[in-house]
Amino acid sequence: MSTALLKSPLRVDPALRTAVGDVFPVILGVIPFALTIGATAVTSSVSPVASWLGGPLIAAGSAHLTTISLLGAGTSAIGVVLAALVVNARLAAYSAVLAPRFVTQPKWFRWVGPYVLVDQTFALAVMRGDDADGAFRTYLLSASAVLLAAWVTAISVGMALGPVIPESWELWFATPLMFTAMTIPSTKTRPGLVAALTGAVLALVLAEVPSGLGLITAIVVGAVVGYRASSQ
Amino acid sequence: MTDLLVVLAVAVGSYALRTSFIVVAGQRTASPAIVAILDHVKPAALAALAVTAASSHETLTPAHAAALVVAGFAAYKGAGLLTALILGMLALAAGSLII
Repeated sequence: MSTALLKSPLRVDPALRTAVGDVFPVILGVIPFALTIGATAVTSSVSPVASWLGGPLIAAGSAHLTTISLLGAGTSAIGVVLAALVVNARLAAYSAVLAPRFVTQPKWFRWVGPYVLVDQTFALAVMRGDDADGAFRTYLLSASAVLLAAWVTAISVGMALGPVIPESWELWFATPLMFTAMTIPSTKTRPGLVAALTGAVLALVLAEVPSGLGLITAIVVGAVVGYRASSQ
Repeated sequence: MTDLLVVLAVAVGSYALRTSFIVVAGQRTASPAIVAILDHVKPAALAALAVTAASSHETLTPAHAAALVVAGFAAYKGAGLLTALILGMLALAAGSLII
């Protein structure tokens, strides 16, 4: 980098600029999900404060929505936590895949960098895997901060709009519609389809099993069956 | 209070999952089989959640089923989440009027 660039106070870090540009379409994609979470939260029996805090603290839509839905359905606390963490288990896989990229990074970044690790930021991080250490840090932190800010804002908007929408619109059905639309792209491969079908059928069959255990079993068995299908 | 504690527990657990391999980077590597299984959690989880969410109300009608088909088909054809969601909700409204 030239001295002129370093001295200019208005010069935006290129990694920051790239991150904001890359994360913009991601934000457009997740806004309906965040709105649905906000609207669901405020129309359910779950504490609005707890529901809202899930936005910045859980920072992952599927697990957040699972938490609110199951709490609203009266599932036991342990069952809700286990189900939400099983939903988020894939984040450990992302962590494993990205780990080599963090070996040469400072310790603080290893703790802070993965805070907003979700499907979208994982894809962005993989895409920038060849960046220099400093540029990678700026990129991931900027993309994560902008995405999280937009995410929390959209959840808040959803919570504000939720009560205004008439009950006859059946807003609750936005949740299964959202999960369905999110499932479809990952069923275009055979193992993905097998995992999804197994998960769906078992979730239906085991729906009466208490404490969210039916859902957890459906997800775990679905993932294992999908894996077996991929290794055949 | 319970709601808040549950959200906090999910948040801490999720953070632990995210940092798991990154914080111990270089000291331990995940078994490829475990990583591959975790890779298939997403379709299994989303499909199971769709079914659980859809069956959470007792008032499921053919209009709801039609809405799921419409949203699913839109997503299959490459529509974004927002488009799929709007089409699904419109199908539900139209279906409820007809049926």
